[in-house]
Amino acid sequence: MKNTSGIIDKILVRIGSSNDSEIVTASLAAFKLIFIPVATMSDKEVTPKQKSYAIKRDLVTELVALMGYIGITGLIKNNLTAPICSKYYKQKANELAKSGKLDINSDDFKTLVNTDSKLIKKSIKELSLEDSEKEYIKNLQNIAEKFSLHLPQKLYLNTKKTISHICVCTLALTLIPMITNKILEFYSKRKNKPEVQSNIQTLNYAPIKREKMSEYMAKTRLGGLNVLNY
Amino acid sequence: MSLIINALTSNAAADFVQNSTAQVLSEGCLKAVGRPTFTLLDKSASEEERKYSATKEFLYQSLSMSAYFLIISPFKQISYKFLKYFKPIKDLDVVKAQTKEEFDVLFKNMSEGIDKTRVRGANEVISILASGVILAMITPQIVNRIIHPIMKKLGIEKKENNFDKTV
Repeated sequence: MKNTSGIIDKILVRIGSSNDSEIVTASLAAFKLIFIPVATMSDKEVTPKQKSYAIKRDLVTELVALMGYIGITGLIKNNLTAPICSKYYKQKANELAKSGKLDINSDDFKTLVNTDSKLIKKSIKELSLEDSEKEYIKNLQNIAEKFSLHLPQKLYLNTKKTISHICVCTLALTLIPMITNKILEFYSKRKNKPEVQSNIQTLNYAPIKREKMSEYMAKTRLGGLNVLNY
Repeated sequence: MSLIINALTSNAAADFVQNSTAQVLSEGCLKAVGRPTFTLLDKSASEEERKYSATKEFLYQSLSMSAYFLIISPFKQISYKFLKYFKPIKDLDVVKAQTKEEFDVLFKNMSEGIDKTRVRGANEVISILASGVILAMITPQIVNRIIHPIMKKLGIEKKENNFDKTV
């Protein structure tokens, strides 16, 4: 009972601290993976072939969606967020320099232009930072506050959430149905393979039989129509 | 490029995507376009199979959006009543609120910390569960009831029936 309460608590804290798009969509995909094929099975007016294809498609789609939302979104989010944060500070430094609010030769400008994205990521994930790294992040925070820019932590979280949602949308619109089509095509080809082989075998035997038959027909002077029927 | 960076890092975009309603609706609209299109392009199935699956998918996604607006959004007004069923937060004052307005005030006044995060998380969990029940359990059953009359009106099923009769 204590364990269940602990798990619920972890779920609440995880979702409450960062309600990323992929959590909601992956949870819904898990629901759909079970209940949509069940609903399709209960449709009595549809032909067995249509029903079988629709169920297959629903299952593959939701399975691909579930894996895609968690795997691909997580991968892109983890690798793109920090570089975008660096770009943001670099861009803002240049804008401030252009407007004359920041000197190109100042330390603040250099810090913003050469923002270490890996350190921002490290500070967000609360990994053990060395003193020099802590000082760097604090300095970056002060500069951001001074020029009314996003603070490193806020910036990282904002970017992560937005990238996550864009990823989910791209997956939903193109990648998931495209991968589903490929899987169903592959499955269909594999399913039809043995039939193709048996056809080839019969084709190999057929000409020999026809040759023998035509020899026989020539000898017995039978009409061509019979040969065709054979 | 600067516009893209500004959009990706903005507070407005982050707030928009943090909202479950926005997440489900934007994803659902894209699915309503993408999935039926790719189903119709699938070469591994016959035309009838593709048409049935694509129509079902389109109807399902469109109905899901309507269901979300009609049921889930109003449900969010009373979702705070279910917070008391979450053991880690059941003793908090905010959970004992009698009205939505009272809940909003108490939640706003809560100091940022683990308890506020838990309440926010519980609210989202309720929203996800409600979405799951409505979008995955109820909507597909409604689609089953309406898909055949719609397909007959569109002439997709009628052709098949005529073919069956002649055979």
